[in-house]
Amino acid sequence: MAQFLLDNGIAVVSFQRLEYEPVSGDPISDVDIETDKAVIEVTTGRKRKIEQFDILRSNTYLNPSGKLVILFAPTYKKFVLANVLAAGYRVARSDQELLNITQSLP
Amino acid sequence: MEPVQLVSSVEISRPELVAFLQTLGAKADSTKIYDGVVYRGDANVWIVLDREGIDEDDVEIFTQKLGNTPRTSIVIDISRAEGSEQLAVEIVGRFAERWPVVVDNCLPEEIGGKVFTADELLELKASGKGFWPQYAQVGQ
Repeated sequence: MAQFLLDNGIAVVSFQRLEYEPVSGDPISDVDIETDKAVIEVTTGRKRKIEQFDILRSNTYLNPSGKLVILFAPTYKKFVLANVLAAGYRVARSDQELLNITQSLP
Repeated sequence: MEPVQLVSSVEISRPELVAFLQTLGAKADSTKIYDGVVYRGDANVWIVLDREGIDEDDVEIFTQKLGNTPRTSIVIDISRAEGSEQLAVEIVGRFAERWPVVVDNCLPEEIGGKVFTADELLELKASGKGFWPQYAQVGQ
């Protein structure tokens, strides 16, 4: 997915970055893809919960400049998708949709 | 990270879960979202009691695989870092030694979705295999 974005002119800053808490050294979370304008969480699963995305939006180590969080979730069940959209996340369900969103960011 | 859902026919409370995770060497999660994080080198697994419980659509398959009513759902989020899926298989094995459990790999059926029984989980552990078919890992 990161390669697909790169091939289409999107500036990918990092890929599959694991971030650690600086004091304790404990892992905080993965950041799947970061572009110059967004953090993209990729999930194959159909069930992930909103809280598990919230840290990407709010944690200052994972997303220090508060970039938009986009979920790439091609297999989400409808009710999970509805909950995620209601929480204010942008969701892409295909490669092209992800590209369209990332290209449209100011 | 990618999730698997561990489901038990036993009611597991948060204090019970946290105490159990401590026996696995879990650390507290700095984000406070998870009940514990287990790591070994770069391999990481985050674990949380699933407050939203079990989807109605899934009750039948879990009941069938457990041979009993599903009562507890635990989400295990697995890092994409190398070794994490294997670490998760080991952790699930420890759960299976303590409680009757099954594990849903959370994939849609058409790309390898599966609910693993306790016996199948032991086979996974013995064979060194993971929860997901390689081709289904679209995040790679």
